[in-house]
Amino acid sequence: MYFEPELECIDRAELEQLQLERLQSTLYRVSRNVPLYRRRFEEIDFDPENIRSLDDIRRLPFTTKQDLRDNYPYGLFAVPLREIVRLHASSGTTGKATVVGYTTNDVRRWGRLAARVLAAAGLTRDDLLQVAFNYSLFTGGFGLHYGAEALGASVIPSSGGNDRRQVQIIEDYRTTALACTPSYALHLSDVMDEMGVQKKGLALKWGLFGGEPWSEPMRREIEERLGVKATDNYGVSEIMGPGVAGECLEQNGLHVNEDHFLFEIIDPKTLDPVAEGETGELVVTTLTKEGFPMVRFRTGDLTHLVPGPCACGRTFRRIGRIIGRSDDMLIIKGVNVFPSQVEAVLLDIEGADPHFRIEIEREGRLDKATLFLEASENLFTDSMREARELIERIKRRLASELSVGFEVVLVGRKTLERSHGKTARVVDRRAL
Amino acid sequence: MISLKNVDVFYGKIHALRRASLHVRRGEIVALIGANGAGKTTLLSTISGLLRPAPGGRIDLAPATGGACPGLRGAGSAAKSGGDGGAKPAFAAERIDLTRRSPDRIVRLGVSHVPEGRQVWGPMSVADNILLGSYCRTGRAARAQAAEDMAELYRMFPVLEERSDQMAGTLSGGEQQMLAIARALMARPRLLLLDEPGMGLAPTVTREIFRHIVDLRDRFELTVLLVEQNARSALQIADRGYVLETGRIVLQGPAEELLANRDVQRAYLGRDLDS
Repeated sequence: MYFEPELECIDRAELEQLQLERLQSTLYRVSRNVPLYRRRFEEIDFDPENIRSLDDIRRLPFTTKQDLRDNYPYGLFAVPLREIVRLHASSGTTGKATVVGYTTNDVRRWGRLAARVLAAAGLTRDDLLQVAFNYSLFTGGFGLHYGAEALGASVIPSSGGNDRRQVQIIEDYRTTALACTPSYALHLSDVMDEMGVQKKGLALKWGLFGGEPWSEPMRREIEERLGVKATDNYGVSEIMGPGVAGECLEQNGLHVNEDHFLFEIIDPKTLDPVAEGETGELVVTTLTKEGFPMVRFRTGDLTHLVPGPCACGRTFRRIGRIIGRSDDMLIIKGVNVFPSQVEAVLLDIEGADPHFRIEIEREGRLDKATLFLEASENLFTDSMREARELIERIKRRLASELSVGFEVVLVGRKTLERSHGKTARVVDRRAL
Repeated sequence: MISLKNVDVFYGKIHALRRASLHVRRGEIVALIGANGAGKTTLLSTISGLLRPAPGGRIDLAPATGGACPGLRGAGSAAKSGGDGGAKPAFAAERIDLTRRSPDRIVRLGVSHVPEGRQVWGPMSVADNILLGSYCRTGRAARAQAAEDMAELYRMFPVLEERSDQMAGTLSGGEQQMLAIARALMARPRLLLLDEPGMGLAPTVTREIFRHIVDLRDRFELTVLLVEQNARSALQIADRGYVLETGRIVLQGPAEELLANRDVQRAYLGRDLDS
């Protein structure tokens, strides 16, 4: 079903008109209100008036995570802080997370866009949606929560963790729709088996999964084991949490809410657009965001355009499921982590160039991350107690700064494999 | 119904409208707000052909649907049969480019303009003023139909019937505004351009005029592009709005979003945010 049929099924020519109008006013506003964009536009002698068609956007420079970091915390806001009603964070490449602000209109619009995603995934006002994403600085559970309210469905904000309680809620509250990461859905299914829950007796019908890459076999397994119709949805914390794009019941690609986001798919090396259907990096320009507009933001997510119209009747074009990253960002338990962030923490503790390796694997259904760290001279100690203290300190710092728990293992000097003198910093053993 | 793309208008060397892009869907009320001299009237007059845009821009009007021009009663029945609530293609395959058409041709294509300051003919009777609005309808059948339309307009605006023999110049401001609207409707428009209908009127009279505008849209699926300095009352009846500033469209969106936008509140809604 549709939430806003007149827009979700809009005539393409009409959509392009709307996008052009919104692009023109967005560019005018950022050139006036955001110093970074004003400077960049001046550098290339660009006046927002020169945008005559959507393709003209290719003349503009990209916005990167580095730009967000350079303008930390509020440099890219397009309205004064007093007009911001909500702050969220997105993971930065080093140390600090970047800050993203929402106005009243932004939050309301976020809810409507998430409601479209929910309606496309099968929900109606009769459904009970259990949101098992974390509610925190990261956008996580909020988007779908607002979406369900906008749709008129009931929300159960169970947030993440506490597996047995999650299962109990699914059973007792007669949850009909579950939103979480795909790996957590499989984990919950295992927990149900342990608890001896009769899955046939559950009311579950719909599953909305996102936050980390997954695969068709995983989709089939989730659908079989939980008895749900499983759909993918997509958000970018710098742009907006869940609500940017979502799959319909055709399960063949995610419809991008194109009336609010202009997207391009580029070759991350040449920065040119890829041929239709080729895999490349997703680049997003916001068309309606007031607080934190982004022009040609490089998401780092790799995907492709799904060609052709969709049988569901929506005219918004689709992107394929996200298959990976164009940079070295890792997604561990649904949280974005850059190896450079880990390095920054280690540098701070050790005070020397650390040699380390992050290994990620699936323990059961869930991600497990282990940090192997070579003991440097500064750290060299014979005392078991000191070593244990050091490990604890590193664990605490990583958990508090990256929001992900790591196992930490100290290893002897020069024991980690090196290629060209550099340690291979990440080993990802997860198979989806 | 209508879409403007990259429209530029110059008065001599003055760049009065800069790359304006805007659209109005069928059955929508769209408000155009902005300060004095922002280019609102320029934009309306460019649509109605009174001003010529610079080359390069486009003004496209959707062709009339269902054969006959859906004027008063025609549109009423179309609204009933076409009320599927789904996505209607606002732009059919062949659009009509208005940028090089004469004003009277544009009226015949279904676009009526109610100018700023009403511009009724003061020494003429109310009835004659209304009838003049049907100047583009020729032939015996069309004139008979025009007489029916006039009767319908009198039902909508009883005060005009009461004063049909009076000179238009003796009417009050609000009555003159109703007269100007009635005159425009006599051309059986699909799109009504309204320039400052509330200007110089008492708030209660303005509200009454606005009620009529909503009523026209609801009953006849008339499409309305409304220019108004009184941004709040315009946005209260509009579906969407555009904000013009020194010839540029700087903001656009659903009316309720514009009402909640602090820039709009500060600049156009007269709300003191520091208090």
